[in-house]
Amino acid sequence: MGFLSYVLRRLAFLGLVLLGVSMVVFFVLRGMPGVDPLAAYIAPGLPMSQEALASLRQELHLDEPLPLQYVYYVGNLVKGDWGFSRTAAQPVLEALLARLPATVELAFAAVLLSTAIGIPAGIVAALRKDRAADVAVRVVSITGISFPVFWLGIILQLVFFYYAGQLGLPTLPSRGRIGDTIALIDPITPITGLFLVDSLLAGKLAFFGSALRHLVLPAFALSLISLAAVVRIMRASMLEVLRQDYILLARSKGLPTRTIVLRHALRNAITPVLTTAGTTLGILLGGAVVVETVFAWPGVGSLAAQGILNNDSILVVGFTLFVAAMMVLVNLVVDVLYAVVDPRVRY
Amino acid sequence: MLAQLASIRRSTLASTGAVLFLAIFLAGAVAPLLIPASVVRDVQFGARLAPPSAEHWFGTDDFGRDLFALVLLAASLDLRVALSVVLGAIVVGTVVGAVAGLVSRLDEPIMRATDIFLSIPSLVLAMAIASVLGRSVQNLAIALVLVSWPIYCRLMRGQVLTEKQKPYVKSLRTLGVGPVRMIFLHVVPNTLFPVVARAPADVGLILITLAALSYIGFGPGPYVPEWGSLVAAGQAYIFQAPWLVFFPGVAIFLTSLSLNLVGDWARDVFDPRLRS
Repeated sequence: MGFLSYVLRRLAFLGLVLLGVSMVVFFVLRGMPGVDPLAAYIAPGLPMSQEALASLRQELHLDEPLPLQYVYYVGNLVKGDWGFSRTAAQPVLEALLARLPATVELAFAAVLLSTAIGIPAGIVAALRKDRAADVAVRVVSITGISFPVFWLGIILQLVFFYYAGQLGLPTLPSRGRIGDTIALIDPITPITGLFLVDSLLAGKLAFFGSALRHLVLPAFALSLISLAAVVRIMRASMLEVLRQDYILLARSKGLPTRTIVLRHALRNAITPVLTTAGTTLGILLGGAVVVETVFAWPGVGSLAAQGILNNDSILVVGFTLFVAAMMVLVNLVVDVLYAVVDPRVRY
Repeated sequence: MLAQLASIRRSTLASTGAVLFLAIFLAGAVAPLLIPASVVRDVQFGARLAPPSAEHWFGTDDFGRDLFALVLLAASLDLRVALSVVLGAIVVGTVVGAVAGLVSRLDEPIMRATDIFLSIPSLVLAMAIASVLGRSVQNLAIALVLVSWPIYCRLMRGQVLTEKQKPYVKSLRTLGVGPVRMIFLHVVPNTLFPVVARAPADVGLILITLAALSYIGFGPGPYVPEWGSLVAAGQAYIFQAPWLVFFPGVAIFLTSLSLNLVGDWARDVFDPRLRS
């Protein structure tokens, strides 16, 4: 079978996953026992007449049987009508898409950090299995997953913004994506929405510097969430690969350990880290809700958190669907790239 | 199994974790008995935001309440919720998983359902469920059970499928033992350990998720001490009174660290796939 048909079959499969996700989300929104689904659509405390409520109920098809409601619901989702968010004063999908670049930039920086630290750490732990370095990596990664990230974020702000400032040391910004002054006097026109990319394209280095400095603390806090997973997977998969016959052959040919690990083993050992990228992204997007709130980062996560405070369930539920869809998309891209890169994958 | 449990003494990290967790657990258990409820209710604006001292070990909060007492009371709530959530998830997950493993007609639908649940990040799905149910700690706990059972379901199903092939199950079936009796009296006890091995690390994870969701707004409000809410309340005074954020956070960190240390060991000892 050809490559194209493989991609099409993956697409069909992921379509099914999305359909399943939409069922769960629909059930959460409409099927919870003891919850009137209409409540999600009305601002709490807003005075509304019985007639207005009844006509809203009819408009949302809430009087119809659940399976029929689901058909309407999915139909609207496909058309891009994800409901209206009171928090953003905007349609849900529009509000999420507008804030997506900020989150992508943050999540991408976090992925870079956690792989840049996690992959070497995992390799070292595997090579020194059960020795001091392995135990050290293990302790550090267990410590890493035990940190409540929101708390760590606040402590980072305290140290690198407040205490550093009091001691006259260089500080790192604690809130937002960009300095207020620079955003006013020398703004950039959004192209991709990623500040780092757009400012480089426009050749505005001061803007780039400010954006980068704002990114450091939140990206570091977020990277801790996925770091332990990267280390653990990398270690296990490296141990597995090092047991293979071809490594034994390389060793008996007298190749230096360095060449064996970096040239021969790493290439095969790294794939499990890549294939879990979709799951990692999901974990990071969950973490983004918390980290973006701490650092006032204007992304989809902090929007969802505001939605919670406003009892804006339509937005929060839409966010859930959005995150699941992003994960599905990333999984698709990873699968396809994987099939291109690894000749052993049969279509 | 008892020999495996006893082997915890040979792991320094795991036994440190176990001792630490027991200490925190005991402190949380006795706190509501020893600390009068008035500590939470009595507002003393004269003693607002006092730094840590001999009288107030962790300082006082913006209502002038003793933070040490609040953190201890919060331990009781957070641990109670995290432990009941994981217990609930294990009960639901193992029962549904055992059914999937034994009744082949239900296997496919149940497994596809868990696939869907596992394809949504648990924190995000819990957020959506708790938001629709309404903001409260109880609803948060329900939401966390709803997102945590599928992993136990899968584990249990896998266990049951391997267990089913073993001769003792076949001989019991020949002896006329019915399916319900078979599941609960014979299969579950033989397969529970690898499933339960996940529990310590999971309690740690749920504890952090609970505190995080509570921090972003699902918390019980200022008159019910909870670790995540205490951090959120203290954040407004972070530069004036950093202890308000510091101590509740350290409490979350130490508790989840102790559980992860035990969990790391438990996974190695009880997970049959990792046994070499």
